[in-house]
Amino acid sequence: MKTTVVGGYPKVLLDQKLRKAYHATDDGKMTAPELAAVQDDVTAAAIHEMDEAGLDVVNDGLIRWDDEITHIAGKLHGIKIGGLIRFFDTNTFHRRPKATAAVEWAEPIVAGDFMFATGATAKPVKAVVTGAYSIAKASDYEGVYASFGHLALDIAAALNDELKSLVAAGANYIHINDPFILLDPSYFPVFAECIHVMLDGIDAHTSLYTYFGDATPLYDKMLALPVDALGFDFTYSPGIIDKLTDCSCTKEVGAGVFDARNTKPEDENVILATLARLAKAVGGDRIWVSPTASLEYLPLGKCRDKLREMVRIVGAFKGVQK
Amino acid sequence: MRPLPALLPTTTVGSFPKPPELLKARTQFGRGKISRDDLSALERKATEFWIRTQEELGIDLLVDGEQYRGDMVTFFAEQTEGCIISDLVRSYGNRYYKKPIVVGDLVRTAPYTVGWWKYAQSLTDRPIAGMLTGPYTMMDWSFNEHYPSRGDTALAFARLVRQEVEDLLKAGAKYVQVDEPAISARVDELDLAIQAMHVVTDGVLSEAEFCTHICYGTFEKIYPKMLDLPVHRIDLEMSNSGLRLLDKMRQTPFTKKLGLGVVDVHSHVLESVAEVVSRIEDALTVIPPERVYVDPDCGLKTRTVDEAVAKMKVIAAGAARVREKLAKSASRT
Repeated sequence: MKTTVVGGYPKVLLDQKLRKAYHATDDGKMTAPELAAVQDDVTAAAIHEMDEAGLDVVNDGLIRWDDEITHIAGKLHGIKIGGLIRFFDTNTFHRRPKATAAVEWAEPIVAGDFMFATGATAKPVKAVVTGAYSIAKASDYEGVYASFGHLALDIAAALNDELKSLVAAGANYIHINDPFILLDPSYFPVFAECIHVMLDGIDAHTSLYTYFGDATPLYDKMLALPVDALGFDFTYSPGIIDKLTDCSCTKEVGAGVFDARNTKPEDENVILATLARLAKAVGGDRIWVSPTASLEYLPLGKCRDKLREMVRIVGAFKGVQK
Repeated sequence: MRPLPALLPTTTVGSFPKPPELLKARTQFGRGKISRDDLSALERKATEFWIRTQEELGIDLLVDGEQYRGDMVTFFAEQTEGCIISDLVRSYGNRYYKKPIVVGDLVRTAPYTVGWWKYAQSLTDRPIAGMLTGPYTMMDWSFNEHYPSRGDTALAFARLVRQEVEDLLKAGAKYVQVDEPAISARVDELDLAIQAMHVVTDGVLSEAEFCTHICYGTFEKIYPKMLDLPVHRIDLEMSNSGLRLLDKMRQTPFTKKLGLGVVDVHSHVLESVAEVVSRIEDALTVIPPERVYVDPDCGLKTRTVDEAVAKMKVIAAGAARVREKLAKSASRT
């Protein structure tokens, strides 16, 4: 049983150094290279905190990401970034991408971030990308593509190039966040095709995470996807534990059991019972325990508390198992 | 009190940017370098600036500009027993707010806004809208460590908002806005949001014009059900979303007054008067002009002072131009 994270880390580390740097950049008082240096500092600090908390596998905290959509979409050829739109049922927003031409991969997007992260920790580092389906679902395609599906598949092909660049940079763990399929499961065939296209020829451990919706109705179909691990938000998918324990699960399981949307501490006994059920059904060595989603929804102090508690409770569970 | 024009009254959604000296003073106050009285004096000065500015620009239904608030949820939570304020949580880009945590039974220990409303109203003969954050949004934008469910939390907030509404009405407010920007985020909870609004407005709808502001969500998924909200006017962010909701309104009539957002508050780009006119005229193909209020998509606090003034100026000019066209058209017939 390993511990890991799903998405971003609060960016207000180091006394809001990055926030101040963005203000300074907006005011013309900081250059792009100076801002990049601050982003590096804060990224290193986020990784250090995940490291210190005792996580088994970390990511780079997505410190450079404005949101889950535009960091990837905005660097693809053929996409421009438009107005604000709410991200799921959160009080956070992303800007809406708009296809302006056929979408193509132009250059590595997160490979440089991944390489920086590997240099900042001795722990294994996951490379994180947002899935093509979610990027397409969050975008306007009218006027360029005949359908949403056509845009999604072009983005998937572009992200396949991105994932190849990540593997070439040494990424052994590829983590895909693709929550939008939970909004309308009827699009699963397009979603599945996107995953196949994205992961074609990718030689790495791959995981697919969804959150902010109930994945239970899609669970059986998800088992056929070409990924090593499926990650679930247990707070939005209360029935997923029954699926995972009642049916034969052929995948590793990402158990998002620590609520990244609420400060309330988890009940240790409930977590231990959930982990026990999962371990019995799936095998303890095939479980990745994590927060439900990005940690950016929590204040920094509460984020730290959650990670420490997560590592402590998983440690306690392993101790009992021994 | 000066009445609103019969057609296309202009208004704004609530917040205005704080002048640089007030921003600096808020930082100094946070560091204990100036007193509460010093800060309040600047907040009152800034409030008067925005009242005068709205008057000069010809805005009809005024707001106090929220110069004394940090964030629309935190402001109320920090005055509420049962809430504590956590550290910063990001909203978008480089914008953060201090998200409240509900840790006990919620109690309003004193009016939240009535003193500011009275002060603002004393400065002008134009009506000032009372400006509150709605119970569903208070719940959704807070962490809850106390109540057993989201519904219980929302209804607990609703009882506090109701108390504030009653005090605003006693003070003489004839327009009350209850902002619910979170309402379009979870379609499955729209009934809860409506139930909470009933707690706020039942029995007092005849005493004032009630409005709710909703923005940045999937309007198409909550329409027409959102018309069940017990208010007279629904104010919507329409220009950022390309007036897409008008198509839905053609299929199912919009039965309330509409607050029509005609400028994007999250863009530095200033709309032209012609663009504003075009957006108003598009809306008038669906809703008659006596039921349309013209305003920005949302609060203008994310703009600079100059940008906010410029955006209001095109709103006022656009509404005036359409009113003139309507008058000419009426005189010809």
